[in-house]
Amino acid sequence: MRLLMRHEPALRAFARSLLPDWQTVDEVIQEASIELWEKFDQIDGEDGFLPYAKVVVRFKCLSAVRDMRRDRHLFSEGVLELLADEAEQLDAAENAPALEALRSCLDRFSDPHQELLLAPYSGTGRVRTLAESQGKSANALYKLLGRLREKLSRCVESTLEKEAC
Amino acid sequence: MEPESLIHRYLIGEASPEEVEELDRQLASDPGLRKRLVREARLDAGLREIALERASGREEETAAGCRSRRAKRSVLWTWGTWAAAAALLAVGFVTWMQRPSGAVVATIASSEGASWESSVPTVPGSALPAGYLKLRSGIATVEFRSGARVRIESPAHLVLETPMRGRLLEGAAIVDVPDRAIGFVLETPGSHAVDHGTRFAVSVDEEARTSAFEVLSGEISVHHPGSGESVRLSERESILAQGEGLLRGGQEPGEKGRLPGISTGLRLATSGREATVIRNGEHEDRIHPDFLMAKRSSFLPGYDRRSVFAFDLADVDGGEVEGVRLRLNLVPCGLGFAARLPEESKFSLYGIVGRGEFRNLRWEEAPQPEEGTPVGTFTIPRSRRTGNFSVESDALTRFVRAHAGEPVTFLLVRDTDEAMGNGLVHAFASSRHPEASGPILEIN
Repeated sequence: MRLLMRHEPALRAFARSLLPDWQTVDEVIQEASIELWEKFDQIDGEDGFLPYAKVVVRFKCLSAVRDMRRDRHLFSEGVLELLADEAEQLDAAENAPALEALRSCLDRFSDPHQELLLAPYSGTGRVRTLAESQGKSANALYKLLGRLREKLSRCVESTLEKEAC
Repeated sequence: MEPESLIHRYLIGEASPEEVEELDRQLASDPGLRKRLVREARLDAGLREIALERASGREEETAAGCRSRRAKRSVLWTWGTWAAAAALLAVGFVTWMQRPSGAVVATIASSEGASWESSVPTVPGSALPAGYLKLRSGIATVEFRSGARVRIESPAHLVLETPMRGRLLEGAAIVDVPDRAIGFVLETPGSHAVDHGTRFAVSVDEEARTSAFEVLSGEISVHHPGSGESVRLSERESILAQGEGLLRGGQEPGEKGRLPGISTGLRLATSGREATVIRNGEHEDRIHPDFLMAKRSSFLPGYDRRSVFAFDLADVDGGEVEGVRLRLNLVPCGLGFAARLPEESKFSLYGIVGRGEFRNLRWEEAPQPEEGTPVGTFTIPRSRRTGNFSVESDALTRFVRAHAGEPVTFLLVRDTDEAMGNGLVHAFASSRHPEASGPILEIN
């Protein structure tokens, strides 16, 4: 339980790199948690937990994508396998500094820009509501959001690089 | 389009099928871009965490800024029925648990069979910031940082203010104050006790608006700001604080509490005339005869649910109806996450004349709100998974009075949408439920 709680953010980020939306991520993590909970006795100590959990999540993600493929456009299976390999390489120890870097970078943006950056997670249609209230087109706001995310991402990466030196 | 832009469009769900295809092609051939996507997914996860955190932080500020109102954010921890499902719920709250806001005021020293509704963590050993604790069942000991220990018995509502000050709004407590915490203040509605190194018992009767203090050893002083009265109490002395002032108690403690009044009214059950309907009939496997479910989701409208249940008012004499109450028992059905609901969900009840056919009832055939008379609403905080909720209104009384002698049906609808997909499905016990009773109509 404690292990699950500790690694849950890392598992969520891992699933996010394979799945097209947050709802599916949450469903997959829920299913994976049940399985991990049930198989807890079989897991080899604390160090073995995260690698094992990633295998479970990977399997659940790929199976969720197979179910979704009928009615949505998704990455091909080959690319998903490659992405899963890549995501497994990502150093879990870097997650906490990455989140800290993200917090400090986000704080450098103006309040309206912070609101826009967080809008996609504040309920469906939030970006469109913002656009309406500002008298802008949703398209224009999505473009701005894309630029802000790129800027934010560059800031996080450069902060992490500086810390690594 | 630049591949980085494509990644962001993909992650915020704005990429067109052609763009997804384009990105897929580029990812297949570019290991650097795959690395990029994995890192952007981590950034996306972080942004979402911050968004959820800020949303809950805002609620916390509201609660702290307006203490007379009930604190908003609440988390229910049921240690007694700690099961995998509860464990999963806990996972969702992990970010809150790891970041208690503000300084530590107290810790939970121990608990026995405790289930909580609380704005602060309730795991034994947890460091607690200022906030409220509601003990729904069991006994628990809260140790303030000053050393004062407050043992509360359910049902109780304790507000942690500072290491030297707490407020008991409901319930009974025994307070132990060591020398280093002399001067510890326990407030109750309308009065407060200052402890001079002692052990005392206090019980707050919320309904009667009284607080009883009894010194077990040592000395306390009790103040009643309303009347300006203050008294010092020593061992075995007791006092009752009420609206007008302080009333010295006798030395005979007797039995605490009083029995509820005896109801003389009529209690009607549905006798199995009840059903849940789901908007998309293909999801019929997501309803269950033990539950009367209600859900509204603009994210997945196919899973919207409403419930109908009928009562026969044949034995009711309209002229004698003075008041009516409809009781529903909230029970967990295991579907959805509470954290994805707004803090409170509002439900509306509609009265419909007559009794339809409830077997294999479909959404389109079921009564619609427009066909009924609105007879009342109630709200449920998202922290609540069980409990009795009732509707008692003039509209309900008028409806029952007007249709005495006939069969009537009620339609239950959740008006509140979920904040994210896969939110909690509210369920009330049907008459088939093995533990809780189904809908009851009380007529007085």
